[in-house]
Amino acid sequence: MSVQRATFGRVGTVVSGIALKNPVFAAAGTAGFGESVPYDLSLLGGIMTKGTSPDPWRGNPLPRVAEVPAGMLNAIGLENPGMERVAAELLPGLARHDLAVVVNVVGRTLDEYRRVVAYLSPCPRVDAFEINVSCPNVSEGGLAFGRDPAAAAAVVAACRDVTAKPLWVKLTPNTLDPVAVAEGVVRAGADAVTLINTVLGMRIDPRTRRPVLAAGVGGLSGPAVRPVAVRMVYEVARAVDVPVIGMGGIVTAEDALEFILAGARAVAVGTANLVDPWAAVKVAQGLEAFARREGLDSLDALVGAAGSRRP
Amino acid sequence: MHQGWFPVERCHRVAADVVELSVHAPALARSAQPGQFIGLGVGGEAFALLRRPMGVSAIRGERLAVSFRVAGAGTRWLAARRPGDPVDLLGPLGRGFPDLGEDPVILVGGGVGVARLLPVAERARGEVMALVGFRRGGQVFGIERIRRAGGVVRVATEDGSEGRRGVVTELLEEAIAEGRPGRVLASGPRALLRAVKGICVGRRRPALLALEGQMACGWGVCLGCSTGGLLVCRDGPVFEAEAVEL
Ligand SMILES: Cc1cc2nc3c(=O)[nH]c(=O)nc-3n(C[C@H](O)[C@H](O)[C@H](O)COP(=O)(O)O)c2cc1C
Repeated sequence: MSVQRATFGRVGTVVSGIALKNPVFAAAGTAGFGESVPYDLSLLGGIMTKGTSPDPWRGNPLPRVAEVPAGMLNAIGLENPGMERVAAELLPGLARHDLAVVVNVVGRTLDEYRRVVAYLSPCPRVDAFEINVSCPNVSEGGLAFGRDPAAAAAVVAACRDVTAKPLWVKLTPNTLDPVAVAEGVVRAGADAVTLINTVLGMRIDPRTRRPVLAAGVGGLSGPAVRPVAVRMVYEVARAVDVPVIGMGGIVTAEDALEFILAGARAVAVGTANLVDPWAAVKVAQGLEAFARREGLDSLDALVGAAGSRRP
Repeated sequence: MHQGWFPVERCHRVAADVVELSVHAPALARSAQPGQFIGLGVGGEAFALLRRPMGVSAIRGERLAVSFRVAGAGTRWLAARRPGDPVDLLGPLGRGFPDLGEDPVILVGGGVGVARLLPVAERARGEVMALVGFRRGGQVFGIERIRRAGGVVRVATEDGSEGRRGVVTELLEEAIAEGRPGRVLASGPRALLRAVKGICVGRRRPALLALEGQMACGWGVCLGCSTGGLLVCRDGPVFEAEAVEL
C-alpha cells in the first residue's frame, strides 16, 4: 500500500523549540535510522533512532524476540554500529528528509552517555537527544540508571555539560515511582521526558522448560502495555513542567489521542511499525483527520485534557 | 514492499503436515522472486500481533502461494482460511535467489523447506536436479511440480518408505561425486544447511542457502534475526554459503 503525501495543517506542534509538522515519531529501535522505511520520512513529525553507544555493540544472542498476546518481548540488547558509523553512514541518509531527528543514546557508564552526546552534538542533522536510561536488555547501565532518580539525574547532568541541544530522557515503567525519576531528570536539566520504554517480562517454554528468550527476560511492548503507558504518562505529565512524549502500544490515531489526553504533547509509534511499516504515518494522518472532523486547528487544547494538574 | 488484505484462492494440504495457501495478490506476485518471503498476519484466539514470515512457494501471474507446517494457533488459523477469505500480507521481503540464467542448478531441500525451491525449479532456464529429503513417506510433496517443470528429482526418506532410505545430504554427496554440474541452492532446517555448507565449501562448490530466522518485523528494523551482523530478513534470507555463520 502506498501512502499519499498529505498536508498536515492542524496537528503541528512544538517540543523543545523543535517545530513538528505532526506530533508523531517513530519510536527508537522500530524504524532504525529510517534507512528501510518504505515511505517519505518527511510525512512523520520525527524519528527516534536506534540506541547508539560510543563503540559498536553486538547485542544479545538469539532468540531475541518472542510473541505474547497483543504484544511481543524483545531482548535485542541494543545492537548498533557505534556513534562513529552512525554519524558517517546513517545520519546522512536522514539529511534529505524534513522531520525531527532525535538520537537515542545508550551507555554502560555515565561517561559513555556523555561521549555519544558530545560526539554527535555538532551534527547538524541531530535535533535532540533521547537519553535511554530505561533499556531492560543490557546488563550494566540502562535500567540501573533509570530506576534511581539520583542516578538518572547524574546521567542527564553529565550530558547537559556537553550539549546545548535539547535533552529528552526516556523513562522506564519498571520502577515504583516514575514521577520521582521524572522530577529528578527535569531538575538536572532535561528538556522533555519520553515514556514508556518496555515493561520487563518473560516467557518460558513448557516443552524445553527453559526461557524462550536467550537473555531470559526481555521487554514487553505493543498494545498489551498501552494502559500501563497511558497511566504513567498521566501521572508524569501532572508532575513535571516539561513536555511529555508518550508511547507504548499505539497502533491507531485513537490510541495516540489517549496519550495526548493523558498529557502527551507528542507520541511515538513503536511495535506497530514492525507489523505495518506504514503504521506511524497512518497514525499521523488519522490525527489530522480527527482534527478536521472535530473542527480543531490544533491538538494543543487536548493535551492533558483528561485531568488537571495536581493541586 | 506492499501491505494489504488479499483474497485466498485456495488453501489445502499438500502433504501430511504441510498446507499451501494461495492468494490473489497482484501487487506482491508481480514483484516477488523465488527465495523471498511474505509476512502473514494471523487472527484467531492467540491475539497474535506479529506476522509469520513464510517463504514464497509459488509465483504465478497475479497469484502467489506460501507453504507451512501447522505449528501453533497462528498457523492453525491460517490453515483454516477458505477461498475468498481476506488475509493480511506484507511483502515481498528480503533478497531471494539470483537469476542463474541458463546455468544448471542442484536444489537441496529438507521437509517443508522444499517449498521455497519449487518456484526456483519452475523459473529455471538451465538443467535442474532436485534432491529432496523427508522423515516419512507421507510428508513428501512438491516432486510432481519439479518434474513437470522438467527437473530430475531424487528423494530420500529417513524411514525408507519413499525413495532412498537416508538423508538428503547423501544424495548431494553422490550427485557431486557423479560430476553433476551446477550451483547448489538449499533450503531446510539449520542442521541441513550446515551440512550442505560443509559439503560445498569443502569441495569448492558454490552454494546459496535460504535461511529461516525468528523475526518480529521482516523488513530490517527490529534486529531480532541478526546473525554475525547480517540480518536474515534484509541481507538474506538467501546467503552465499561462505558468507553466513550457521
Ligand atoms: C524491537 C524493539 C527495539 C527497541 N529498541 C529500542 C532502543 O534502541 N532504544 C529505546 O530507547 N527503546 C527501544 N525500544 C522501545 C520502544 O522505543 C518503545 O519505547 C516501546 O517499545 C513501547 O512502545 P510500543 O509499544 O509502541 O513499541 C525498542 C522496542 C522494540 C520492540
